[in-house]
Order: sequence, then structure tokens, then C-alpha cells
Amino acid sequence: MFNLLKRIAAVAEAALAWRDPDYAARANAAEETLRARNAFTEEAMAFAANQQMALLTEEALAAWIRDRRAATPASVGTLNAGNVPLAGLQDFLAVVLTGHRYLGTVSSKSPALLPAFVRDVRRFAPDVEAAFASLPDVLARADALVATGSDETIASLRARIALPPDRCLFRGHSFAVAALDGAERADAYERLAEDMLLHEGFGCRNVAVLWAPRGLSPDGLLDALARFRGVFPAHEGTPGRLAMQRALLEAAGASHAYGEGLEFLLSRGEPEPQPPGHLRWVEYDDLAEADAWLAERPVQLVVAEERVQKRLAFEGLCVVPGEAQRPALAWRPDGVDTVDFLSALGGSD
Amino acid sequence: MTIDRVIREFTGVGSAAAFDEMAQVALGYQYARTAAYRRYCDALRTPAARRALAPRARNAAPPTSSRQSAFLSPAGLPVFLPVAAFKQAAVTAFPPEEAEKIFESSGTGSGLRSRHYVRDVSIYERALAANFARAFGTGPFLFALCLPGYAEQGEASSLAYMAHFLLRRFGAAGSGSILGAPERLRRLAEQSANDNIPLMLFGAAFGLLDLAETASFSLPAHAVVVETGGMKTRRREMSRAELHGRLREGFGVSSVCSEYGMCELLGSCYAREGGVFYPPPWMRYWIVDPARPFEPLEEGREGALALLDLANVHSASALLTEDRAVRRGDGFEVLGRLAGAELRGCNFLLEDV
Repeated sequence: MFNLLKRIAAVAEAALAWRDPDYAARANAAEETLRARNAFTEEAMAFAANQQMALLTEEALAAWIRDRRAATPASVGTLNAGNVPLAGLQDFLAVVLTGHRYLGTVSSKSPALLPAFVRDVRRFAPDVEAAFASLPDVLARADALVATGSDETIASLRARIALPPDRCLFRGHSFAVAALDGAERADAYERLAEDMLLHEGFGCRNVAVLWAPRGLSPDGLLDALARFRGVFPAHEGTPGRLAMQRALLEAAGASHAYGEGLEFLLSRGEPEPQPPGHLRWVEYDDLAEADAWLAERPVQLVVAEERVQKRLAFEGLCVVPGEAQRPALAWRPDGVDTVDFLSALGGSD
Repeated sequence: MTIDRVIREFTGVGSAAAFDEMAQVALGYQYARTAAYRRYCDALRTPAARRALAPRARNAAPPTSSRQSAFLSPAGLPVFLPVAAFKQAAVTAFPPEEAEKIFESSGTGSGLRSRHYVRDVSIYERALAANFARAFGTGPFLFALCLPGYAEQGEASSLAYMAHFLLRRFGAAGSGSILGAPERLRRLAEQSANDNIPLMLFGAAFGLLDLAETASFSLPAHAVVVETGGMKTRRREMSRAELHGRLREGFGVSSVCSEYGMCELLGSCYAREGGVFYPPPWMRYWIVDPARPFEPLEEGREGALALLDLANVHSASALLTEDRAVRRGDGFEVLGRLAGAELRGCNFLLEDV
């Protein structure tokens, strides 16, 4: 039986080192990541690393795991997305702190950050069994699986693996939604801009659709989006992606606004999520319209001021503006507690 | 060359040069008349768009040039209109109320439906007939149609319209729908064998799969099975190879053909076997980077399928589909939906799966 406290201490020690942007392992991994084909920027990557490492204290980790651990260890395959920096970190921690063996894939979009952090954890806790392998290897060797993807990718996986359903945790694709009541102050818009644009909109916690009372001017939000881009410049590929989106809006004669250099794009229209970085502004006469829509969509979380949250019937995760890109250690993707899933797994050895 | 001549002669286009000439005329006509297409092309020529789309690779071509046709990239490719435009605007070179027919997509995916306003259905029918005859001959065939869902969509379904048109044009007496009546397929198979008329089982992929799994069939040796409508079944998505394997087994045939089409496109492509589609002479295809579709990707790279279809003369001929595809010799293979690559959430990459 492994020593949980020692593992927690190792994670916390590695995280402490990683809080320093100049720490060699972090700096080298960041440099390698920026060379990969992704939509990461130096600023957004630093934000993600700082935010997540700050959470990994011994107290917080112990409070998250509590006494949840697996009776026998299993080899848990996790398919890491790589769409945002350090995606998959929570899965790694959940696997090794519940006593399982970790077997992850490395995304070509984010080839260095998570592997480098895992190496550091193993440096402090050599008994942690953690390795990275190709997708076929992971699927062949894992006796449980954690994976996130579109219907297409999940279908492809289901066809390829022989694991029983109760040993697989599949997460669907999702996005975040914001709801306004028109009484938001400028600082709320500033925080919303982060919720929308950080990581170029690629995260499942990025706000993609915003419900606003009919007639509300988007000017406050547009100003905030422009200011956000002054601090977090757009990835060099973002304007190109948005140029075609904007041309399509022009073709349709749809109302829209954009940053001078196409660093962001906001369009008014039906409540349909648009490609990453393109925000959809939806007007409501009654907030119940948003509620009815939320009930039918794969919404990861809703961003709204507390007074608006109280008016919504949405039963999933609600956060205030500025919290979408700052997930708590214990946050539950798709409402499922990964630690509960892993601690209930039996081993195969 | 006039647009009227393109309309009259496009199915007989005999050379690449003739195609190029017709395409230039069609695109010019659409840029002038199809407001949605013109607005799209023009929006890509604004200074902000040109800066945003400026190539990062040293030898890559810029998106469009102010010194040339607004609808051509410097690399010579047409400006492809994303098919999503058909969900958001009337993509027509004529007043939409003058449409003879309006085809609608089945509404899978986002829920919004594409609408294709067809000014002259006879253009569509000429393209359908010529393409079918190229692929399978002029028959006659004993058609067995299996179009669940599409049939319910009725007149608005371009697929249902196409199937019934082909049945009328190339079908032998006795042809018809087998929907909800699998025993009818057996009778048609018997008739086919007795009268030596090839059986043409034509259907939506998921409909054929349901049929093959409810009963087993042994179709005559000269039977042709054509699946269309994508690989999304009512239960789950599957690869085309897996789908064809099940259909071959279920119907007792040695190969399965595929049809590639969509309501936004009046032309279509057939794959006789192996899932490699070959466009007819009045269509051309490219595999492009969906984020920068101004020059073709090199052979072997996966990308978005872009098409130029002269039959789409009164709407938009140059379309950027949402299908992920790869070039295979002179044809292309459709690998799945492109949208999956851009979905939010912690998706792992398609390249990884």
C-alpha cells in the first residue's frame, strides 16, 4: 500500500518548484510547447501554470483526496487533450493519489508540460508509477480509461477497446455559457473577457455563448475584450481563423463586431456555439429562455453574477465572472468526480 | 463563353481547360449575382482580413490579391464559401422566391438547417442522370430504395429527390421503396435474378445497416448496393470500412458503393468500392487547410474537402465542406466530420485517434 501523505508531499514539492517561471524544468517545457503546433501563447501558458500550481498545496491535496483510494491498483489510461496548457493534470493527480498506475498519452499540441511535471513528481516520489505511451499502447495496456472527446472520437475509442463500461470514464465535448442581467459593472466585463478569450477559446470552460437582455449594448464587453487583448495578445493563428468567420457573418448579413486586428469576434444571433474565439451574443426577453436552452446543451458551467445565478434553474456548476479559467482542484468535469470513479475501481493484478 | 452556355454544356465538359473556362464564368456570374458569395469574397479582401490571413510560411500564397479576381486566390484556387453559409443566408444568384425547389439538410449537428434554393431543377436532374450513368450505366435497374428519415423529410430532402428521380429515369418496372417491408427486397432480388435485371439497392447508410441486421439477404451476384448519407447511424458513428463490411455480410454482396452529396451541392460523387470518390468532369476537388483554404495541401495530408461544382451555377459553385478528407490518387476519401477537430472541451486530437 502506498503512502498517500508522501505522494501528496511530492506533488506539493514539485508544484512549489513549478511556481517559479524560471525553474528550468518549467521554462524548458514551456519553450518546447511554444514550438508545437497549437494555439498557446506565452502569457496564457504562464497563467495556466501559475494558477494550477498555486492550488497544489499539501493541505488542499489532502482535503481533495480525503480517504478515497483504490483497494487495488489498476493501470489507468488517460488520453490527454492538449487543447489548453496542462490539460490532463487533474487526471494525473487523481490517478496517482488514489493509488493507481498512470499511463497517459502525449498530445502533439502540448508535448512537454505535463510530462515534465510528472517527471518532477517522480523525482520526489520514485514509487509513483507513471509513464507516457502512444495511443495504441495505452489502449492495449490500460485496464481502465479516462478520455474526453467528440462523439466521433469516443465512438472510435469504444470500437477499439475491450474494457467494460464501468471501467471507462468518457467525457463529451462541452463549453461554458455566460448570462447577464444588464447590471454588470465594468470589472465584471473585464473578468468575462478572460473567461471568453483565454486559451483562444479552446477550453471546455471557455464561454462560447453569452445570454444578454434584449437591447443591452455590447460596448462594455467589447471594450473589455480589447483591453484583455492588450494583456493577453492573441495567438498568431487566431486572426486568420476569425477572418473567415467574419467573412461568413458578412455573407449572412449577421450583426457582428471584432477587434481591429481580428483578435476577437462577437456576433449576434441564434444560441449556437461558434468556433473557438468567436463569441455568440444571444438576446433574451425572459431569462427562462436561457434556462430552457441550457437544459438541452452540453454545458460545462455557467458564468453569471450571483444574483443572476439565483434566477437560473440550471443545476450544473455556476461560477462568477473571472472564475471560469481558474478551476478548483476538486472541480468535476461534466459533473463527474474523477476521484470517486478512480477510487471505486478494482485493480487487475 | 456565357453563363447560358455553361448551363447548357457543363455535363459535357471535355477537358481541364474547358472546365477552367466554365468555372471562371460561373464564379464571375456568382460573384456578381450571389450577394452572400460576393460579401464573403469581399470580406476576405479587407486590410484586416488580408493581414490576418497573410501567410506565415515564406513560400505560401497570400489569401487574395487586390489586383485579380475577387473570387480567386493567387494560387489559382476559387474562394470557397463555407457550407455553413447555407444555414445563415439565401445563397442565390436570383430572388429566392423564384426558386423552383428548396432543399433542406436533415438538421443533424447544430440543429440549424441548410437551405439550398434551386432555380432550375432540370439542371440538377441533368447532373444526376449524367453522373449516375457514368458510374453505373443506363440500366435499367430494379431499384430498391431504403431512405428512412429522408423519406419523412419529403420534398425538402435532396437525397430523397435524387433517389426517386434516378428510379424514374433508370428504374425497371417493379422498382420502389422497401422501407418497412424487408420481404419486398427478397421479392425484388428474385425478380432481378429471374429477369436478369441488375438490382440497385440504394439507401441511407443507417437504414441499410438496420435492414442488414434485422434479416439476412443473399442478393444476386450483379446486385449493386449504394450507401449514402454519412456514417452516422442512429446508434453511433462507425468507420466506412466497418459499415461496408457489415453491409457486405448482411446482403451477401462482394462490394458496396458509396455516394457523396449534400443538399448544398447539386453534383455528387460515387465510389464504386473502397470508399474513394471520383468527381464527375464538371466537379473538381481540393484538400485544403480549413483555416487557410487558399492553396491545396500536399498529397497525403488530411484537410477539409473543398469542391467546385458547375451544377451549382445559380447558388455558389466553390464550397468548403465540413468533411475531413484525404487525396487518394485522382479521388478522395472522406474520413469524418471536420467539426470534431475544432470542438471545444478537452478533445484529444483526431490525429491521435
